[in-house]
Amino acid sequence: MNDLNNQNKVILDAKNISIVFGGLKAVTDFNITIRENELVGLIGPNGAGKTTVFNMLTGVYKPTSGKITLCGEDVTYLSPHVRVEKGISRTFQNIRLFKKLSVSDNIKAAFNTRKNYTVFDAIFRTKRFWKEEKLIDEKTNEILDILGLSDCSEEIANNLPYGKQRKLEIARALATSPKLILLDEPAAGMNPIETSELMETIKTVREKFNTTILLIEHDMKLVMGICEKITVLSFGEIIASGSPEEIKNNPDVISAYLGE
Amino acid sequence: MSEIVNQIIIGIQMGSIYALVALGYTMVYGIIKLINFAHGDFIMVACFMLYTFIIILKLPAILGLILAILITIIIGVLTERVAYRPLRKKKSPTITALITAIAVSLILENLFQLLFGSDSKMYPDLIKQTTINIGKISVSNISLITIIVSIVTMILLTLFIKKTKVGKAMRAVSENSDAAQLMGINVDRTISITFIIGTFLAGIAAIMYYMKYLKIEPFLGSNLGLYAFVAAVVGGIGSIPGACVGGFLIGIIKVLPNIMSINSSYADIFLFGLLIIILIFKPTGIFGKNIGEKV
Amino acid sequence: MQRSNNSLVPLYSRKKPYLINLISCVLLLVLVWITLGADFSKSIYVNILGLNFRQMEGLAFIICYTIILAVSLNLSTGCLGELVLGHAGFMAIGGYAGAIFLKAVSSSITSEAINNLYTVIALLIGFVFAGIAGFLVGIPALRLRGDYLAIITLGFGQIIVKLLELFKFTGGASGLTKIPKNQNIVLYVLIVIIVVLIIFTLMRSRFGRMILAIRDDNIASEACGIPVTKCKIATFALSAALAGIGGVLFAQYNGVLLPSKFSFNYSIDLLVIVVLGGLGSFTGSIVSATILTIIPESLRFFSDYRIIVYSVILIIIMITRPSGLLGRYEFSMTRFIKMLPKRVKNISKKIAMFIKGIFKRKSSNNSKNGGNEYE
Repeated sequence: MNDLNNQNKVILDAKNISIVFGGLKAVTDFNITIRENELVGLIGPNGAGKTTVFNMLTGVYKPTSGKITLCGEDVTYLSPHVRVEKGISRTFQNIRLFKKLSVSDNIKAAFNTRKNYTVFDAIFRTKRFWKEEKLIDEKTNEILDILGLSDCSEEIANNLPYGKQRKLEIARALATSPKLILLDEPAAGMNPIETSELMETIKTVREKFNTTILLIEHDMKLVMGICEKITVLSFGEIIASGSPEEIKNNPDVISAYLGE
Repeated sequence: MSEIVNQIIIGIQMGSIYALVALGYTMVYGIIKLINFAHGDFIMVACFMLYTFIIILKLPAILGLILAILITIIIGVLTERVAYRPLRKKKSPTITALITAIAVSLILENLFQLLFGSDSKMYPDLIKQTTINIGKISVSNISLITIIVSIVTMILLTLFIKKTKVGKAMRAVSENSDAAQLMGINVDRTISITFIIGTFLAGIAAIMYYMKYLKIEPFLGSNLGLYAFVAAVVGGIGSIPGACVGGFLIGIIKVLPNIMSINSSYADIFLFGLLIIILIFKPTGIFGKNIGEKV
Repeated sequence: MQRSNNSLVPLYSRKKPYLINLISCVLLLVLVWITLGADFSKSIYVNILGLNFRQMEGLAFIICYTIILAVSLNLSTGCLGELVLGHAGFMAIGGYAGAIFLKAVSSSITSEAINNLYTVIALLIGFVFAGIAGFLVGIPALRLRGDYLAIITLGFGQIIVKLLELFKFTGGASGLTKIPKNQNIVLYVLIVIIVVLIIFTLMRSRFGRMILAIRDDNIASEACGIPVTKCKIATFALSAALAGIGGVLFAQYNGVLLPSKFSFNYSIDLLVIVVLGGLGSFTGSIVSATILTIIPESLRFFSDYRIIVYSVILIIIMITRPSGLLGRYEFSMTRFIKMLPKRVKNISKKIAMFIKGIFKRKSSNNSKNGGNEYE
């Protein structure tokens, strides 16, 4: 399985990316190569710089040095929304939904990347408008179905229970038809039952949408259970990467987590 | 040349009034992140109270001053209690709080218009005005008093915030009110104290305003407040030295058209022009700190 | 659990509601023509709320441009969530631009048709100029955090008034006079309908979803591929441009433009209308623009207390129901039509019950008759 994956196309390639915040080296020489359809985990103790890596990959921060390529295209200095169009999509550690919109509108808002009708079409309700909106409705329903949110599609996002809000974030990220999804602590605040449900969801998402996933997580059961490759970050530097088995037995990782 | 110096002194005098008002804006913004549009109107309230006590009721000046400031403080604290606190408890969005602040301002202005009429009130000097001549430069005693009182007030305020326990509590609440509460600081009380100090400063500014213009009307607060607010933003909202510097800067800009002998309407254009330029190039103002939203 | 009651919920791809709305707009226009526009109706003397026909007609004009201003302000303040305190400034730019054009061509107005044509051109000019102003103000302002936009627009509004007083070509403080009037109410209503339709159709398309998403969370919007800054500036500019249209209508109705009209206070009046109606609800804006225009006119004694009462109501609303009276509710013709038979049934049932009460003995017969009559 691993060997087969390695022959797949490279989706994301980050080379030696570093970022400095006013003298503080938050992340130094971070490297990662993600191939098509892989499920990669990024772990590390609190404050290791995991979310900072996500922010650089999605364009919220611009790296001080280094290069990020997506499917061979340099995206290092593109702004976040352009990267989304290129195919990087994300969720947030502290949930950021469009709180006052309904569940289905949350997803529809993310279909904006399709950019398939103009202001003119919207005002005069041309044929293209009706066709596109119908398509968006269908796709929204499809995503809602797969993630099991159909029964609450008209609910206001803010009123959803916590677990469903997490799911909706993933659903919204999927709506941009991404090549790569970055999940920032998707299981944070979940109980074991919800977590194992989430693991199933992530697996289904990868199969049905044929995407590649990079996730940050503290829940080792989840990471070890579904990730094929794991990168470990500590104090802004990579200390290990490899298969879950290798990481489990790596002395550096154990000392980083437990302290010396 | 001496004319320019005279104008600049007038500018500094006006600037010290703006600075006092700007301090009120800055302190309230610093602590509850609300642009208190009603702050300018607190000065108007204080002016009318001075007018009522000293001119109408003919009380002794000192008693009148104390009573006027006291009533202004009560109105300020009441405003916070009745209008702003419920919103804070509900963690309302900024826009809701801003609209409320505007509404409070409108209520005060129109209430005083109903009570006192919309015409401006003239009254005799509080202190006999004399002019001190130094060479060709002439300074009125009122200008001197205004400038000195303002500077002393600003120094005292800075010391208060830096050194006292209450001052530290205020800084803690402005940094993070939830954390401050967990550390045993009474947030509501601290905010009330901020309003008391803010309105107290407004009261002092009102006395200065009263002495300078000898004329009051119910809508004086909105313009004065606007200029002071610009001063606070230019200096960096939330920063005390910023408010002072901003205030003096705005005062000098206000007399620029006189120095250049052009239509005084240009003062406003310069002022808001400066505001927009500052906001574009350094949105946090001259002394402001940059606080980005964490992702 | 609270169900979403916002109108965006129905699937966008349904054509029927849209067609029904279009038809009802046309019906409304015909209604206006019959009641206010046509000559024969002027002979009928109506007296509602103590107003005669002339006053009512005058009010209709004021309501028209107020609706346009309120709806456009709602676009930036309610939908985009940016507090704008200088909406009257954009209105002024549009109004003056249109008025200067109209004055230039005033000698060539020979017939009603030409006048209407010039009005349309003036509206376009007002739209473009105010839109450019909105664009220029929006570029710096919208890059900043929320409350700064409020300050910049406030400052902008003040500068505009001062500039209008300074410039020669705007007539200085004494204003622009002798602007050719156009008091064709059907044209006014038509323009209101067009403006409202444009905003409605936009808000119920991917552009509307973008705007609402940005209001709720701009970082998440960016992460969903929405070009936040671009979208904010465009929305803001559109809102300003539509205010320009309102300004031109204002100029054409009054024939005079005074800089003092466009002061901070007028911006606040508009804000009050929008907030009372509901931030984000265009139905609310239209209703409250109408009511808040009529009330001060019909209750003259009230005018002294008007602003105090408004302000107290504002504070109460902000504390108890911050989304405004109607929240984000939108009137829907389809829903209305669907509900109609039910309503009629209910009412007829009540009437039947009432009649039953009166004629206890003949109860059975009467209830049947009452029911049938109304169904």
